[in-house]
Amino acid sequence: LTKTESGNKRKGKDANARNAITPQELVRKYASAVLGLCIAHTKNFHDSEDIMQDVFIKAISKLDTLRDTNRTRAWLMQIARRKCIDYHRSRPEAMPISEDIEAPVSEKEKQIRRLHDAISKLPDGYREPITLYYLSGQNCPSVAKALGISEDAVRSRLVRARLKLHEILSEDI
Amino acid sequence: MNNKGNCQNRREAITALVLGILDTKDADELQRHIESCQSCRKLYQELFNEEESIRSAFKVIAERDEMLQSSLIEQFDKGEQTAVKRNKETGKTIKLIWRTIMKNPITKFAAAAAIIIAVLTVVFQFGGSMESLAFAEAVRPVLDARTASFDVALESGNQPVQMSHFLCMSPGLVRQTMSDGTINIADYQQNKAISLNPKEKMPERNGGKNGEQNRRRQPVAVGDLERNNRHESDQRHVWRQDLSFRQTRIPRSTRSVGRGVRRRYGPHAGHLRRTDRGALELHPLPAQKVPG
Repeated sequence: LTKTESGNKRKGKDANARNAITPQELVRKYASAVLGLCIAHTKNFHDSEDIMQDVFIKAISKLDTLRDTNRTRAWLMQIARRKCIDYHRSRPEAMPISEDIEAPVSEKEKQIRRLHDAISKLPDGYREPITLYYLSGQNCPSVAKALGISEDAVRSRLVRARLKLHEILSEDI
Repeated sequence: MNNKGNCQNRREAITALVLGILDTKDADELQRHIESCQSCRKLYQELFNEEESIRSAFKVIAERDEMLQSSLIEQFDKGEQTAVKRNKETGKTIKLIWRTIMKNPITKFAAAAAIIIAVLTVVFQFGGSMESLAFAEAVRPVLDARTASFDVALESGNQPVQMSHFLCMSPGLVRQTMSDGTINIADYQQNKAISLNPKEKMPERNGGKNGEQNRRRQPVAVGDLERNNRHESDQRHVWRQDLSFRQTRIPRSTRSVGRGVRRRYGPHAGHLRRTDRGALELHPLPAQKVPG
């Protein structure tokens, strides 16, 4: 290909990415996977929600940089990972609360917090598969697609992660 | 069969069984073993009970995820509508113009400079201390985004919180909406600024006598505006001493509720503030601009 031809081809692909996916579709298709990844990399559920939204806002504004629409999921996951790194890097110091505020925390909320704490203690390679697995409604193929690994690899990581999670949760009690 | 070593090897298989990812044939065999082996049955029972609570916790998370999704989609819809409306009005695609402008590094810095000026104006206006302001934090969004919109919250000891909303639309064009409804628009490239107060419109409509007030406000030079503002702030010398700037970026977690926490998007978007009685109150923020 000559330089201009390849340039045209790339332009065509760029236009495709913006035309082929609407922001709404992007959210509907990939929001759960992105949230799962954010949960895996943060220690607070509210932060994961915020990061997930930041990821989509960033993705929509940078949709032109997506050259291959078949790689949308991987592209989004990469943005999410970077956002999580940014979150740890530039996290503003939390303002201390000078007095006690009684916040009604439900049993469910406590349970989620305990689980999130346990997940954050898992080794690096185990966190993503396990959060994605449960958030996708126990669907191994979708986890494999999201992480770009084989289903067998997902299964073996899941089993180890789940055993480790059991150990952490048992210690916690 | 029931020796300890073998059962240790079965731990992963039991976990896979609980997760529901074990082959049917292996699962049947393992089930038979579990019925006869006490230690494996114990592990299976523990994992099974845990699994239920994990799934129910993730179910709650998934429900919240759906809420978030619809809120995000709603915001994108809104963004698209405003973009279409704007395009119809101007007959051009503003987005494209913006992309061209922001590709140029010089204009990027011009935009950053506009923000600095905007922030400086606020500093002059309220006489706050410059050191307490994180300039990098204020400037960074402009380098990333096509438009910048941010809120500045000013707090002083006895005075109510002064909220103002900033919108920087193109290099040097800044619009500031104060909490009392006053709108300041400044063009730092042409050195012009105008201040509009919706409340002052009333006498004009009713045919008020004061000609000075009724006359439409003329744009003034930025220097004059700053001077005027400085003059005004001098009069409030008494209480502006203990004014402090809150950073435009506020901790994200609602757990870290201090004097005020702001969530930008989502169903709980708003400014969380303490009332006199100590309770927390959510004040909604103006709708955010979302790239469409």
